[in-house]
Amino acid sequence: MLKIKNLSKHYGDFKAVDDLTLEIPRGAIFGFIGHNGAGKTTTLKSVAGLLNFEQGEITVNGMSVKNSLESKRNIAYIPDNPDLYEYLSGEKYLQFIADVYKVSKEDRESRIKYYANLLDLTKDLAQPISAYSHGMKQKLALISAFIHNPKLILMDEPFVGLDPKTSKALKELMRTFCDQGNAIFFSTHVLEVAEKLCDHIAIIKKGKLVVSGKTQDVIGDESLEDYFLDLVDDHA
Amino acid sequence: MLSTLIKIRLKGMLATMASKGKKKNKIGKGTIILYTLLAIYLLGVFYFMFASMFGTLISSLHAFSLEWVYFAVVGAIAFTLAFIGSVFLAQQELYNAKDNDLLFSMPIKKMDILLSRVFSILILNYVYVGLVYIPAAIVFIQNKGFEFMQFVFFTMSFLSLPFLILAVSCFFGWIIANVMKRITHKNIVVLAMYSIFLGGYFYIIFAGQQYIMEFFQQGEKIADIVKNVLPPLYFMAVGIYDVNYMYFAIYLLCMIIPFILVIYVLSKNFISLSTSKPKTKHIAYVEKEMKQNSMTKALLLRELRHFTNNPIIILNAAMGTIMTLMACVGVVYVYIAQADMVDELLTLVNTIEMKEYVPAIAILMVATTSSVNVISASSISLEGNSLWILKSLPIRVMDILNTKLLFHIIACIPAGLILSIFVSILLKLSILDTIVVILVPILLTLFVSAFGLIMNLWKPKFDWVNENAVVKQGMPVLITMFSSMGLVFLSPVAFYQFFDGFMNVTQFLYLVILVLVVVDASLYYLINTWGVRKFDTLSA
Repeated sequence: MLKIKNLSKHYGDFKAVDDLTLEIPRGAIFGFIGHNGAGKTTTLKSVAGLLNFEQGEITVNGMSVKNSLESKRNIAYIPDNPDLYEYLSGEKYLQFIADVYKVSKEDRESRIKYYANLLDLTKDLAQPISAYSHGMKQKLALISAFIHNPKLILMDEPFVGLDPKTSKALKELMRTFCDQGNAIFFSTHVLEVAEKLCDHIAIIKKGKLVVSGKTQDVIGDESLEDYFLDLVDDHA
Repeated sequence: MLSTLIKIRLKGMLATMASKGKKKNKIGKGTIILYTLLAIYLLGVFYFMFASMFGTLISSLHAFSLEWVYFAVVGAIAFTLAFIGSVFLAQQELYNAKDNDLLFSMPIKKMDILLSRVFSILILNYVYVGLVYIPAAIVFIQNKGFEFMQFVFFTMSFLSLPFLILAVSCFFGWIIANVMKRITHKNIVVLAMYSIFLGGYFYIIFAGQQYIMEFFQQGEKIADIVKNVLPPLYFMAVGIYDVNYMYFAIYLLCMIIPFILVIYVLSKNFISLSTSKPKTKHIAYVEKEMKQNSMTKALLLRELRHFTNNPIIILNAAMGTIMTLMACVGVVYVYIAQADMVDELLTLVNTIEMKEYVPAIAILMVATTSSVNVISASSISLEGNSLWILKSLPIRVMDILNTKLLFHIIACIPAGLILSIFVSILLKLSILDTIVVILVPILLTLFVSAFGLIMNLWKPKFDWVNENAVVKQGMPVLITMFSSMGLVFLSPVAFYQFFDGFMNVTQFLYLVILVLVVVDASLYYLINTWGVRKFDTLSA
């Protein structure tokens, strides 16, 4: 589904991502773990087409993300801090996203209804986004990600700001989505969630990939938390 | 602590205006040069505007031996200009700063926070007052000359007048903040309030001439009028001109005491007003049939909703359209009520063989208002932290940029077109002249939209504190506005300086059309090539 090959990205003299190679298969919930500043967000933004990168290649379903609208049509991206259009209502925002992805009238009606009910946002859809809390913005960003039925969803810290009920709903949603043959590539600091939810994990440190593979193969009998802390200490 | 807070505010103000240089947090040399050129241009425009007015004023006052009134008029103009310029900003600066939560959670005296915010408005007031005081001083020196103490008092009046302006604008800001706290339809109220201020401003500008004439016909009564209507300015003017220590001391008290009182009043509920959430009515969501829009329509609707959501954006970025609509009303009024006067004027123009100048004057009228529309010049910066949305969606960059241009054009051209037609009818222009009067402002609008967008692509600013700062003080906006205004005002100068000898006005207008077509086409080409690549590199 998603192939990242030898990706490198610099910010001036600082190498944020260093020769990263990863493959996210269909049907996988793929957790991306690392310290603050390890290069997780830069990688996700590069895949989403938000950042130009100097070296490497990223393909989604075989199509390069560089200057490719077609690959963007298959992707949805949710940043860590969802700064949405505060001047629109929740409903108008979703309508805008649906218009861009050319989602039919019937599909958008049914999907908005389904996801807004699931994430408990229906009653607030007419409110301006400026009146939304962080959690409500996060829910709206999630609905906008699912509205066009993408093949791959990129999420940067998706559980931050969500209440326990919505967190649980999101986990179920992620599982169902991937069971349909799609994939999710997300970063998180919540290691317990990653351990339970992710089929695959990758750990990144100072821009370099430290380990990648199926979750159970990577951590073995340890908890992900212990494994991660041991690993990053060993590589310090 | 106060000095630290002031430093932070000053840095914030500079950061709003400028883009960063290559080194982090440093303002680039190019930016400094650009701002210096802009400042010189601005000073030049205001100098010529006020110097001619003050020159006439001082000679008129000399005839009545009322030279002291000069300083009262200078003070009144400076007060009006600075008040109008800062009153819109005061409420935003005082109560809606983004660092409210951070500062209030720290052990900082609330008075220090308040004074640091007041200080940034004070700086702005000094700029406005300086724009009036510098030409006033030069004109006075050229016509009469200052005695040493007169100059000292004049300088002191420059330093102290902004305090009264500050007190009045902060007081209005306080009233606005109190009103906002209690109402739900905030945007409509803000738009109405600002429109009233704006209407008052234009009324003063247009009707002011007549009042000044009536004012001078009062002769000796002027002293009484100034003393009764504007007592602080009376004490200031007499204090400066006669070097009257007592009067000047009274004036200084009139500046300082209201300032202290206003700060005291403001400090009483500063934190509660700053932290209060605006009253919002929960809008119930009702499921209804949804529509599927084309990409262009979706992008246009998004631009429209952003634009109409903030009255400050409308009033600053589309000031030209508002002025054009006001001018339309004015033209209709003249057509109905002053038709005889227009006929006499046109007969006179025909008699002195200046008929060919009429379309040029009509174009200047329409183009002047069109030139101050700068919607596209802030449209990239206004994306702010939400830029990621456009960049992550499957939209061609060309479509994003073209929609921004299209929105500018849609918001500006219809009003300009109506005014062009009204003016052409009023001035009884031929069909060919009417086409020229319609065409030139349209081509100018196309130029401003493309030039503004290029400026904003070149110098975008995404980490703004509030949208108002981007549309009021952003470098792309200032460069675009002054460039387009300069183009309008310099065209007649260019004709008289370089073209008058070998072509008539009509031929010159055809040349202007040709030049604008070429320039517009070049700018659109630039947007669709360099602009697209530049947008790709932007990140918030």
